[in-house]
Amino acid sequence: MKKMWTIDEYEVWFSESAGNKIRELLPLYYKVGAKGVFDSGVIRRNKKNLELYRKSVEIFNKEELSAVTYDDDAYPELLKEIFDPPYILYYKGSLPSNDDCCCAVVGARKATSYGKDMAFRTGYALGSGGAVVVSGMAVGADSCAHTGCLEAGGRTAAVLGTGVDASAKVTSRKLFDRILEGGGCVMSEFAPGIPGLSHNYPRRNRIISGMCRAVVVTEAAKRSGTSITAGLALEQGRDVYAIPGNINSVMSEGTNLLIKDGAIPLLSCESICEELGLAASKMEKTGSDIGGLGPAETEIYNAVRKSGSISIGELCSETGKTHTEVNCILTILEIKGIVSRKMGKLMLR
Amino acid sequence: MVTYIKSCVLSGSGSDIISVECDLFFGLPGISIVGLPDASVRESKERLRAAILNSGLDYPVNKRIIINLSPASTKKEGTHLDLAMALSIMTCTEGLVSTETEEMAVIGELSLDGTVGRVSGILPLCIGLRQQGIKKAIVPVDNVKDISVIEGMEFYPVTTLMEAFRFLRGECAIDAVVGKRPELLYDNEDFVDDYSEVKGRNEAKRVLEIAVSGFHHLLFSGPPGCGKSMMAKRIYTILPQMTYEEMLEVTKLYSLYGYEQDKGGLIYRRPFRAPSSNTSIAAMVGGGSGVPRPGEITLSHLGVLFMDEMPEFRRDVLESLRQPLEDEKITISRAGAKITYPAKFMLIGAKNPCPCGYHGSDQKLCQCTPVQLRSYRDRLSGPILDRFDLFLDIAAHNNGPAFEATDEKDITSAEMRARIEAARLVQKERYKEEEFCYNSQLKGASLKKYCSLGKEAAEIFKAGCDSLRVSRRGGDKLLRVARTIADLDGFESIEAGHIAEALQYRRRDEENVDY
Repeated sequence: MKKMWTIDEYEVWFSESAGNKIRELLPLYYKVGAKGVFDSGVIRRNKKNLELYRKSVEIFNKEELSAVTYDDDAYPELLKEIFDPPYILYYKGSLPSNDDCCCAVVGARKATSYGKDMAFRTGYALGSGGAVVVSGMAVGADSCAHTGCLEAGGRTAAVLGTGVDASAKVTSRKLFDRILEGGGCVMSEFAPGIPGLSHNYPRRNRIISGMCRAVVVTEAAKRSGTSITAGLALEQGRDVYAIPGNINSVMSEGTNLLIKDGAIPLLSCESICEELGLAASKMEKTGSDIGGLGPAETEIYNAVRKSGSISIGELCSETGKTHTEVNCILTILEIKGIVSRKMGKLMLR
Repeated sequence: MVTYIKSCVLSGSGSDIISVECDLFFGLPGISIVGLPDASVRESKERLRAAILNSGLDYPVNKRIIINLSPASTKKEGTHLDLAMALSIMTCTEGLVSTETEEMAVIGELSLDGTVGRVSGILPLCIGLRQQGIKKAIVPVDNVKDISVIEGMEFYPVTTLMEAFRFLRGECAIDAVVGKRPELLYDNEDFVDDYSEVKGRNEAKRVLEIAVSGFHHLLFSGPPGCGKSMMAKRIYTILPQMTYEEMLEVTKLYSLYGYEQDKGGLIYRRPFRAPSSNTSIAAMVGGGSGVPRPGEITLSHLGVLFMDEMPEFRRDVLESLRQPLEDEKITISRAGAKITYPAKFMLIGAKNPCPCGYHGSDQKLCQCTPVQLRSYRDRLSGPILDRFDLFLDIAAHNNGPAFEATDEKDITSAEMRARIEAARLVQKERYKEEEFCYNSQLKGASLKKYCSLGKEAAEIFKAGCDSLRVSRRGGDKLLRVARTIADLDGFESIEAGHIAEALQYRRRDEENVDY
């Protein structure tokens, strides 16, 4: 096992190129080192790439990133077990320790408001239960899961499909900082400076499921990236949990199919804690504020609660009130932070 | 002897009175017309000579004729100056007894045999005369029908140059046609569409009522097929009646655009314009060579401008709306002229949640990439969104027969119009001392004066602004909308419920941005 380790372009090259041959190549690597493997010509090599990786090393040093290799103790124990673990993991922040209970929460980028809400609650429940929520920091469900965990004061880890530095330039700068502030980490197997190519993402997904005990799928369309992740998780022998959805909703087809194929349905977001043996805790908002509602407000609240997501028109025919009355009450409920309105539909917060 | 005859030329949104001056000199025979005439005015010298000679009058063939169109610094266009120029030459040679030319404008085109022909676009000219205080005009007999709707004007129709000349000299009398306000101003039976055809959607109808009552700009957002366009296209059925002055104004603008009513006469209905999303900037704000013509925003003056698929409009076209939305007028600067047209319109925008239309929907999968979503959202700039008072997200209809059978009665256009007319009346009464007439025009001091809140309303206003993250500007909008809601519901003061309802129509897109 190597203790002292300085990164050079050959190491980066080795980690990037080994792919699923990693287990065959490791003995050779231990014998001759990364440069030796390069010179031996066992795997295809490209001088140009080496130039790219030299730049990666520069970025690595400049941005003060950290890295951990397959041989380190800090390397996630569970990830070592999978078929093709990455040799190097680059990261910023602090890695979850091997005592931590990691749980992945994944879902569609184009999540519906239901999916976002579920991701947020699951993240919240796990965060409050002390688990580390692992996800991909993409827009939609991923970001909601991270945010939910952070709101509960938990730690969360984001696994990227780009180099760790690149995320600094993309959309989720705010979330990036929040994750680090919350004691979590942002990690990637891709060297700094590697852009987000589309074939990187399925590879990234195997790490998300690989480093976790369980994977929760909040929402997935049929044949989507999220469904692929669930498939990988099964191959790796992880527990797959799926949140059931409306059978008319395209974004729930994938999750419902998973349940049919044997995934464990989560009948409430908090039940994931029970499954993992963590102390469950509900989101505070829904608990405490409800008490102070008048009869009309309670009626609307119950109607929204009953259907999960409802349009104003339906709410009117449900309660027999005019839209003007309903709108006034909704404002009060919005001010109290109980209901939110998105794309013309109402749902509980 | 110098003679003066009054006439007028088009200038931007109105008409300018000009004085046609004529004098004769010894020198090389011929006519020169000065005072920036354009080609159509300059070539009338040939018509003048033929028309005067063929009318059996003396033409000063051995004199040098100077015609000056005063004020000499503005450009003059149009063949309708023929008659005024001919009369000014004739009075120069023959002498004139009558002094009536001071309050009398002369409009008409001449043919070579001396008959006076029809002039196109006479309505804006005559409306302009009226606004400038000239009450009498000699006009071609063929045009009388078009302009007889202008109240307070006396028209003297003529068929020939000779007739006009003799009338000015007092040698013959012409029966004046006195302009009258037409009786049939509004025809409800005409509407093909009605809001009762839109099933459900009572909230959207309510928002339309609020928008029309207070002249608030409104932005609809919703997936394809949720009825945005269907509702917007029926808005003409609930627009309140125009006053006579407004009709004149609108008709004038349409005449400038080159639109002539088939029957002649006024435009009775408030304009509803729905330009397509590939409209150019010139077509939108106005432009063209020579005197810039009014664009869509001026054509929707006092009415509604509906922009369907608003983010699909070109960026520069959208940004060009900023000045008119703020100042209620548009200034077009061209090499030839700088013209200001009125543009006080109510803007209704409609947009999808994303390019494919299904973002956030659970019925169909959205095909857009995150980059597309972002760029679509950014296409409507902050300053443009700030101009809207009302925002409404509409959810897709739930499919299936179970949702269609509701007992709810569909609101009709007539009911909506009745409430709107009442709310407009309240505003008219309240703002009779002010320069503005709609709630949407309240700002600063006037907002404070007319939108004071009671204790309960102030509490909910404050709570709403704080916890729902409403900006200062958003708060002002909220008050304006609440004022209109109170007017619609027949309340003197703004109650808590009105504020609460107005809060539902606030701008929400910042909350909808992904984490």
